[in-house]
Order: sequence, then C-alpha cells, then structure tokens
Amino acid sequence: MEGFAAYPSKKRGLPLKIFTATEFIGINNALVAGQIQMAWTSPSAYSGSWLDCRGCVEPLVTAKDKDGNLGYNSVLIVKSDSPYRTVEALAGKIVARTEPNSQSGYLVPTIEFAKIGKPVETYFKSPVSGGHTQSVLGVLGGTYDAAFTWTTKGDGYGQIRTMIDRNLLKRDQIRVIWESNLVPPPPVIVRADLPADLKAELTKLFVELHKENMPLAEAVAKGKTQGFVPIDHKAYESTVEMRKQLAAARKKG
Amino acid sequence: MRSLLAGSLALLLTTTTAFAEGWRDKYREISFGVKPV
Repeated sequence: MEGFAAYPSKKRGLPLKIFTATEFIGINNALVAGQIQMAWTSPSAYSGSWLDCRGCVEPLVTAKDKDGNLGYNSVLIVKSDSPYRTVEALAGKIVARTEPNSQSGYLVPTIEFAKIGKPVETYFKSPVSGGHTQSVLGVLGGTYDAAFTWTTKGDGYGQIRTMIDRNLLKRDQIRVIWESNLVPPPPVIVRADLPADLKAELTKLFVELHKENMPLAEAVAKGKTQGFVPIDHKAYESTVEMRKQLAAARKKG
Repeated sequence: MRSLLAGSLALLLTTTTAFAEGWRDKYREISFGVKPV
C-alpha cells in the first residue's frame, strides 16, 4: 500500500498519506472525526459508521475480482488435516470470529448462523481473534479449531490470496467447510462532505489505476483484480440491515 | 476610480482562482486509512 501513496501525487498533483490502524473501528472513527478523508474498509464498518453518523460517509469505489465479479464470500476454514468436515462437527469447538466491525469475519457469520439455529456465540466457543490474519494463523497453529475469514471466487483476492502471496499460507493447508452467499465488496469510502470535484478526482484515480499500473492496482486490491469501479450506498443496504439486526439482538440479549 | 477598478479586478481574480482550485486549497493532502495485513 505504501507504493500507492506516491501515485496520486505524481498523477494528479494530489499528495496522499497512508494512515493505518489495526482495526476497522480505528480507521472509521478517524474518518468520521475528519482526521482522514478516505478509507479502505469493510462493508460492515462502513455501514456501522453510516448509521452512527447519519450518512457522513459514502462509498466511492470497490475492486472487481479476477473474473470481473463484485462481492465476496465469508468462509469457515479448518486445517486440512483436522477431522472437521461439517459445521455440525464443530459444535462446542473453538471457532474464531475476527472483530466486531468485520463483515465476513463477524457480521455475516453471526447473522447467518443465528438464522439456521446455530448462534455462533452458543453453538461454538467463539473468541474474537483481532483480525483475519490472526484467525488464519490461529487455525494453522491449532489455537482455533476453525475460523471465519473471506475470499473471492477461486481465491482471486481476499485474505486467503493475501496470505498465500506473502508465503504465510499454502492453499492445501486449509479446507473451507462453509461459505456464505455473495456479500457486497469492501469499499473505499470518503467523507460525504468532500467537494464533488475532489470525489470525482479520487474516483478517476482508482478507476484508471489498473490501466496504468496493474501491479499497483493488485497491490491496493490485495490480489488479482480487473480493476476498481465506482459504487454507491445502495450496494450496502443489506449490510446496513444486518447491522441494525445485530444492534437489536445485542439490546435484547 | 482606477484604484477601485484595480481592487475589483484583484477580488475577481482571487475569487475565480479559489473557485477553480477550491478543494486544492483546503485539501493539500489526502489521508487514506487502511488496515495493515
């Protein structure tokens, strides 16, 4: 991502500074507070911030996968040499979620497993790992029996692709035993009050990136991509609904 | 009269420049938040 920092300055005379935080909440809070102007975040974190600040943030672009599709899957992984082949085999076992603002590592499994009568909190023992990398490494190391993470079709981009590319994982070390329906892709979001022409500049920057520098586009997308495309709030209405359901369930519980 | 005209022209130029590059004046740098892998 550091390689991307120089690109907007060179291309459009717009210096870019990379701000990092270990959890989505840190990035999104900085955006809502106006300390940063743009963020590459999760659909769930975007939707949570959108609800909290009543629309002070909006999606700008997202990355298509290697086949040109939009969206990804939350997946439940186990070690290949483990005995677990079904969700039912994991009842009472240690199944990690990532962090409360993660779409695929927390929100989707929490909502989807509750719907099928297997609430993650009670059906499994479910610690929060802190992030996708920690979850996958926890499975490999035996700390967790299974963990929720994310990938795209054929592992084009996503957590599994990122870790394979960084030699942290070999694909045959893990097995996917559950996969969600396609969920909206992670968006690059901005403060809604940025000037329209600045939003247009930033959109153009991302949308043209793969034509000018595919390796850089793939580095930003964290895997194989056909490039970035504009996206708007409508794509995340289902995620906003999930966040509302989760908030209501927490109030009840 | 001449100074009034010059003043108006200066104001017009300043306003036009600010309008054309308004966001560049306010956002000399964009901060982009990302999660490290």
